[in-house]
Amino acid sequence: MLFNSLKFLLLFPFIFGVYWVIPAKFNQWKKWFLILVSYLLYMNWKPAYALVLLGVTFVTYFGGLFLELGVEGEQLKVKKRKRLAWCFALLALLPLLVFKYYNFINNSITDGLAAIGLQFSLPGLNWAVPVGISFFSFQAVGYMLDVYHGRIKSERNFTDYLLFVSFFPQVASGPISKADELLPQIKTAKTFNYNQAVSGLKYLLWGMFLKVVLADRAGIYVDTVFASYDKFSGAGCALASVLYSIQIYTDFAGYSLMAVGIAKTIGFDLINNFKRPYFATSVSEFWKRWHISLTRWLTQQVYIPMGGSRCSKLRNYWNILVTFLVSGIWHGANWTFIVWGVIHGVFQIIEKALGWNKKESKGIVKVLRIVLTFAIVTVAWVIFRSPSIGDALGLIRRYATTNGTFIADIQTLLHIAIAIIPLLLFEVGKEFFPQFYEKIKSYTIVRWVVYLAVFAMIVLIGVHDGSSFIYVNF
Amino acid sequence: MKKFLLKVLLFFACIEVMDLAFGQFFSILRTHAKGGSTANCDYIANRATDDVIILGSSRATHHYVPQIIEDSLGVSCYNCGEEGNGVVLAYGRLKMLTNRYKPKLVIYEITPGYDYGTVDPNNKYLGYLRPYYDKEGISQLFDDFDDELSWLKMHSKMYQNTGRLLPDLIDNIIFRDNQKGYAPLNGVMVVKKTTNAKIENTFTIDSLKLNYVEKVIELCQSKDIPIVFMISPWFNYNSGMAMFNPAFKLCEKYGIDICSMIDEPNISTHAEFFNGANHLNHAGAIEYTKNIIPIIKNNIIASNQKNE
Repeated sequence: MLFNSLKFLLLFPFIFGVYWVIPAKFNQWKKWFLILVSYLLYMNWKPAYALVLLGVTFVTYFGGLFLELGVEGEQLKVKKRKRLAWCFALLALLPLLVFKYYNFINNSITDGLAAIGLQFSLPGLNWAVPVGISFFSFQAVGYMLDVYHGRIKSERNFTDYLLFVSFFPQVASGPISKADELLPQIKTAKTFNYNQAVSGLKYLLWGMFLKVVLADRAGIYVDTVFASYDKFSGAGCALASVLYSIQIYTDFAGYSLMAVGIAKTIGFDLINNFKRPYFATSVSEFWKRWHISLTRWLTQQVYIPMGGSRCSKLRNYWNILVTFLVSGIWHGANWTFIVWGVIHGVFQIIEKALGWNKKESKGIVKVLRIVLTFAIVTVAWVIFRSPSIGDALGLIRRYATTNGTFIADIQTLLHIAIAIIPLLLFEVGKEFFPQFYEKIKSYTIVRWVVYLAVFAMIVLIGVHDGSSFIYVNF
Repeated sequence: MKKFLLKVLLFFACIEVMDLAFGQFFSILRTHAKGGSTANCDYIANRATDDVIILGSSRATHHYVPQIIEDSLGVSCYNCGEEGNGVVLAYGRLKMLTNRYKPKLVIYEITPGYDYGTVDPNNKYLGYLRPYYDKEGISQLFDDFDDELSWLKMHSKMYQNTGRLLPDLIDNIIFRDNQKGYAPLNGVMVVKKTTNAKIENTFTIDSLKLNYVEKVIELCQSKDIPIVFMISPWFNYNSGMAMFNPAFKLCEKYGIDICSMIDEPNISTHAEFFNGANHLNHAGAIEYTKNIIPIIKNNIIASNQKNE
């Protein structure tokens, strides 16, 4: 069930109420209640897929227990342990590989063989991908690999682990939590914290605004242009590309903020996935601000085990490229995602080679770097958004043309223009004028006016079709 | 917890007040609109008493020129067609009109996709009706075409006006001529090789929408309002009438006229009358409306005789 649906918003006070009515001393009941809610909400998408969630939980739970044997008792030899880790990781990732990548691999092989004149094909899978499979699989495998590397102890309490993997605020679209962050919170008996709950509602409101008002409005415009880009001028295509950058950010950040907000209201603190990414001055910095939980996962589970930066320059560049190739593949089974990942990797290698990733800038140079980074990221998003590389190149080629329509839908564009003002004020204030932002925030009347205005905008100019989140599909 | 719950209650109390205030604000905006879609919708919902009413999709709003019908027949006429809409909006508008008065003739331009096909999610067609949810018979459409919680959402005056803030404000500032609901299209279509391609019948029948086409007929017949179904010209139409069959069957069942001008040679073979393959431009609309004047005249005469 999606957080932006009215059904969830009606159900949530019930979840909140029951959770806090259970006394803190019955923490085990609280946990089972959350597990029940998490599984019921997950089954709302497709009941059978709860078995996938449960399967991944079992494999990684027992994987963690087995892999720890080697650390604690030195009972397993290093090679055997490594093989065992690979086996458990592959087993846990198997549903993800099958559901998400089988058709892609099958089609790619078939096309490749057809290109050299060989006719071969396997039947395709016509199954929907379980919601959030990339997120909960990575979270669970991340836990297991942390145990393998000796970063954490394995979890013995299955109830706690069950909740760790299925925790409803994050199961569909992250953030990807680390075991050492979330498991201790699950174990702690919780009492209601006023400030945390209020903060949670603010996150929920702002996340809803980003999703319903900005992302979904921008989506209407972007869909129109991307579906028939050959009718639009270069400026029109560029405008739609920029709007897609806004759409994907507000869509994903909106979801993440709602997840963080809901978790806060029931006493959990999740990692905030975004830190104003479009103010990054380099692609390297962009990845420190965008989908932070995934970047952290890839750094710890892919980049560092490959040697990270503690190796030769060339090896380091290779490690960066592979890490972002994995990032691209994680996003989806399409060449567009792979190329998107490679582009981000290549730009980071260039920045590292030139030393730009560590170079601080001020004034106009900083502004220019922000604009340049935004432009690179935006063009890469076009590839990410397009159904094929050919379509992406077709749209990018249109940038150089003047014939065609500029604006697809003036009314939608005006709605976006109005909705983007609060976002800009918030992001610019927090990024460049933090003291002023904090001072303004300290006035109760200002806060309440903002809450009510944001709510009014959600109802008045939001899109209320309960549309899905882009990242839920990953 | 007590403080938290009190503040949440206070927040919702503020929203309730804000909701009522916005309801009033939108009501003022609608009644004071100078033109555009706001004045158009408000006129249809609250003031129209025209003799001839035209219903349908963009093919209605772009193809029927009320001024020509008025000048030719001495009756008043209003075009209630709407871009990207079909029977859902048409039924709602007809319901609001017939709750108030009895038109002399209803002309319904059939567009299969919007009237009984599965083109878009059905709740998309409720947009223009949301502000008029409280009017008699309209809530039924929301029960049928929106989700099961629509009754709850529609309690909010702000929600009833969702998406209307900008158009309503603009229509209060700038005058946009409605031309009695007719929206002329300018420009002449460019004929390409693909223009003459056969149209594939890609949509499947939406039985709920088809049921509402039937309800349109039943509503007119229950109030003794003559209704005629029309199919206006399509450029070089060569795809057969299969997709219009459900409409033909309904007309046969209820004994009402259906008049197809889809391949009318005087218009459908002339690219200069078209803006696109399925939309007439202003010149085409004039030509077409002149062509159907005898049909309208005959139906009005029959209606008058029946009433006498």
